[in-house]
Amino acid sequence: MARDRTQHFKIGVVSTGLETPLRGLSRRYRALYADFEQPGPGDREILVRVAPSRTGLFKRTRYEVSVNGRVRFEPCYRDEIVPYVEWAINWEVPRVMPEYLQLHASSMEVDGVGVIFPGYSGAGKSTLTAGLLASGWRYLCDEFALIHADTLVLHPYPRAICVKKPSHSVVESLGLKLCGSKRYLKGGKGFVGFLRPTDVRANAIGRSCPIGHVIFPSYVAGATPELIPVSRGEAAFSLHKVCFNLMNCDRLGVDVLAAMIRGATCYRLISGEIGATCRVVRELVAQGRQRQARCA
Amino acid sequence: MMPFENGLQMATMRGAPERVASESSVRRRADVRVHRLDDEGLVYDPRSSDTHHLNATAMFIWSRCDGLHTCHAMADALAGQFDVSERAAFEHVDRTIEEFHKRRLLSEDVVTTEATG
Repeated sequence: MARDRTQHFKIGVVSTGLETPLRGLSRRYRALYADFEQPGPGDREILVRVAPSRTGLFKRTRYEVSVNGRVRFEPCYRDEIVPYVEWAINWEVPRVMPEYLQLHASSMEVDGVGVIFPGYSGAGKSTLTAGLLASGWRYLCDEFALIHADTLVLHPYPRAICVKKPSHSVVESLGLKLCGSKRYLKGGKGFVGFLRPTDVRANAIGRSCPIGHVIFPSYVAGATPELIPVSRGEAAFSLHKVCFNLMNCDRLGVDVLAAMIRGATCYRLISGEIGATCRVVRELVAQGRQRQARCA
Repeated sequence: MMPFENGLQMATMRGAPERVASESSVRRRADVRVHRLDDEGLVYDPRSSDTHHLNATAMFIWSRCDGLHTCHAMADALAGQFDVSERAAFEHVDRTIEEFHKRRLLSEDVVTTEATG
């Protein structure tokens, strides 16, 4: 058995580490996050350890995925490990970073303004994120909106974008290429591939910024893309349902949501074909910018 | 004008409805947190950890649940503000307060005013 080796990464505001004797896993994980590698552990590092274990009557090999000392998952196949490592980190982020209100949302930055796309799995967050990234927007995260509870500033956690198999051809049609040829099994979501934002262009990662727009996407095959305004009250109520740490944030979650939403415009987005959907969203944000410029 | 339906939304629902008399007033619980967002409200109940969304008419009524406004007074104000008949406004006030009770957002004490004249 190879000796465990620990790699350390600082992915936006999140410090992670991976310790494993599995060389293939080390290599693949590093391929996704080489841009963020660090020489040593970062502040409040989320350390994931993956080790094979043989248990049960037939001594079948399973893989223990533990995070900060607690076993979270035990996948059976090597092809499942990378998504479980990502999941394990996602589980731990709300616990170790209570200074952020954390929403289930993808987040982007354009010209210093943050745009979040909250929604459950299957709403089309990652595909929309890839589309906007391809059109020049900068990436913050495809899974979290990390909002600092005191400053209300949105912060980057630029994980590799997880693209489900049905969206692979959509992403490729945008001229984007998934990282390597390897595809991974992610539970009920089926096979996924990863898109490295820095493969799209050099300045693909966004900066911390205030939130200007909250857009709830909902993918409807064949639909004409449409933005429907929603009130701030309704938006805040919808956001509380996709909050990972409403009760475990440094400030009361609803206080943060209410303060944040006062500075944002809020819409529901019926998304369809990716190019047209991205155009609709870009136009909305451009109009907001023009309005602001006129007011200034 | 705001439609009266969908006055409140909430994560969970508990409790049984209670009706209040037209000349009585109700008081919101002091420990419930309320954020006014434009003309709507986001309400957080620290006892149950439930969050509620009040639309414009529900927020209008909520802001008058101060132990001073009677249901009749609320209905009069609502009818004036939203251009609806007094009867429709009173029914809406009644229903909304019943919802507030169901969700345990009001104090237990109901202030009853003696009818005069």
